[in-house]
Amino acid sequence: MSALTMHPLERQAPNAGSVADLFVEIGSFTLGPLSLQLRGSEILCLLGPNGAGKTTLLRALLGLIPVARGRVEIGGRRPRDREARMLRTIGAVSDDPTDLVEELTAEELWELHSYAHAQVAGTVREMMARARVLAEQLDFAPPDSPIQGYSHGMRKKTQIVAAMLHSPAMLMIDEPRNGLDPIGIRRLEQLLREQREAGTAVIVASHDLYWAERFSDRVCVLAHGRVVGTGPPSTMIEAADEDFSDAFFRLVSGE
Amino acid sequence: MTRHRSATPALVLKLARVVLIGWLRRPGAGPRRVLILAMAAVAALLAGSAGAAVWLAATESFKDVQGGVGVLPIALVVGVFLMTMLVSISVQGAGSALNPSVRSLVALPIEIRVLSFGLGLPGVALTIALLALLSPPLVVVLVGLTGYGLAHAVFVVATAGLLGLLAGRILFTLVRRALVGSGRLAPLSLTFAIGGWMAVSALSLWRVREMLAAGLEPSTLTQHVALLWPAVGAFALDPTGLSMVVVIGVVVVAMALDWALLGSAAALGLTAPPVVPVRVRFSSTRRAPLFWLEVGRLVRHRRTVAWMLSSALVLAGLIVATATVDAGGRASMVDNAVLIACQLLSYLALLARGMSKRERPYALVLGLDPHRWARTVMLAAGALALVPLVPFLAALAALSRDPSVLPAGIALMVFVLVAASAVGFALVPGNDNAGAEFPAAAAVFAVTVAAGLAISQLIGTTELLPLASIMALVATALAWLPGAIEAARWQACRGIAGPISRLAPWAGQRS
Repeated sequence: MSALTMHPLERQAPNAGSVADLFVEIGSFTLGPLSLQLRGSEILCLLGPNGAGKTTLLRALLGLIPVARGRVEIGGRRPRDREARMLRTIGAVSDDPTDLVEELTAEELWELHSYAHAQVAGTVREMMARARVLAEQLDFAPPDSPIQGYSHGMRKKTQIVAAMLHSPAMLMIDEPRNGLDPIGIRRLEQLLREQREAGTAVIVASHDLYWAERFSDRVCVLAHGRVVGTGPPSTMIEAADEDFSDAFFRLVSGE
Repeated sequence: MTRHRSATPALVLKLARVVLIGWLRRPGAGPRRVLILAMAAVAALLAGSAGAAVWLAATESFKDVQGGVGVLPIALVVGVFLMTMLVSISVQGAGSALNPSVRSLVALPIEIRVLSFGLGLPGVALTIALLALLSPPLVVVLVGLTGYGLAHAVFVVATAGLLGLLAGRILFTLVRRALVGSGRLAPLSLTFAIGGWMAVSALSLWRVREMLAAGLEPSTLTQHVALLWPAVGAFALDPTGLSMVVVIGVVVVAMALDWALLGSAAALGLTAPPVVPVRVRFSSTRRAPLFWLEVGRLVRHRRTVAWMLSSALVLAGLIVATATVDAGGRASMVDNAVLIACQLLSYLALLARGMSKRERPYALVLGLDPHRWARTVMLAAGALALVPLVPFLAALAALSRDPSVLPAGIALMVFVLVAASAVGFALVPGNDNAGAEFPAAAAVFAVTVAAGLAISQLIGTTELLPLASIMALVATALAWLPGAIEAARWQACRGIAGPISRLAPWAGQRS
């Protein structure tokens, strides 16, 4: 198996997972009821204003948040069980640049991730080779010093490589553009499109309308913890004189 | 800067409220949890103080120095001074974790001194509140031991506490000011201040012991007052006489010094994050890679490195102190030195969990087993603690001509290590939770002393080797506890209620 091909275990397309009647309660905020199909070979963008529940939904998909009601399933497994085989199929990048083992260098962090994933399938060597290819594609030459001293953009790139080095069947990225320079954003877009072509279900959470319209195959618009619209960006436009941003504002304002 | 003077007190109070709100809204700290932690801190303080007093009375540590002055009152008052100083340092360290909010406030047109004072006020209030909570039993004990009137005893405890508070503030600010120019060491103000506190403690206790051994009369205490104001307050002062004026003068001078030190931006502790050099590289091909990963993280973390250096200094001081004690008192000195060394080095285990995120540590994200991870963290901290401990114990064994000190010390370290790991995994003191450091350290000390007392009563001996051996066996049997606490936290994170998370909601986390 070459460094850039996927392990058979990781293939879950076309139905990569699903969310059914999901309810998550955090203090006074409630996410749901929410149902959503997650598909392989697709870039799904979770769109919504601040506080709409995008990050909460991603955390529910990762099994990192208590689910009050409903069902979340990825590749036939429940994320809350945090089974190693399920985790092997997922890659995730949070929007928090401190979500890293900051005492390690980027290379060491990738090796740690490779080691953890290799407990289920694949080898550290393969995954490290892929990590270096990914870093090169992102135009990222990581310094040989602890992540603690990295800039925001370097941290983001470190996180992206760590999330993709095991060729996950599902990739979730919270606010992918945050911290990246224009070159980094373009390289990332290219990388994500390649992932989609390879069958990966790519889920990104963003509040950038124009980017979502241009980049995603399907958008899921959230407002106040609920899905207010879903489908390809072009199908959300109702009137001839409406553009995507008009459609978005109409949806989130409930008009 | 022009500002109406009448506006300053209101501004100070508003700044103080900002800090208080920050404390209450820390990540993962809901009001209920804050209450539980505060209660745990007070309980640990009371238990630790009472335990330490009983320990001193129960062991024969000071048997050779009992003279005209009873040792317990001195130990008690020095204890108040030192504990208040530690609380003061710890609380300021917790405040320094609010750096982001401090950064935004610096842009406001507020005089640095006012800003420093306002932001530090909640810490002072908290320290005084803790002292007030602790005072009634201390006053009662002091009255019982010395025959002082109630007002005199209150005065003595209050003086010791106030001086401890001011000493802690001055030490912390001095350390911060000294380090702020160094980008690499600046974030370690708390650790260095605690290191300084340890040095003050060691010197204070050593001087107390020396003076008592010399058959000191209360009137001559003033000739040896360095680091001993609490003892002076207890035994050399008449609250209605000239000496009281002297003590009040010292308090006023300390307050003035404290105020003067706040006038520098350095006192705010605005620092860059530390960058740590890479010396030992993580490799997944090495045996036990996760163990080496955790060792590497501890070694690369400036907090833990600085703590180890501070501990090494104190251990060297303890060896010197032991060497200077006459042969008669050396055995009891060795026992106490071993206890202090184990407590100091347990700090690595206490801080190790806090180096990962409280809510979502890397091990959870990577899908590692919580029990395995907790065991690995504990072993890594233990392995590093042994590096300075073994030569220290060997030196003590040579000085006391008692080879059993080495196995006894290692056995005691096993107990303290497990206790510190359990407390560290429960309270997660460290990077983003510096406020929990003091209660955590006090809890470890209280647990160790209480276990030592209980087991010594059970087996009927205070000999260190059998006592520490049984403590090590107990600890080995309880070594699963840190893993169970972490597993409960992870279950709470996923919304799964297990037996521990039902019994101890604080072990979980707010979603």
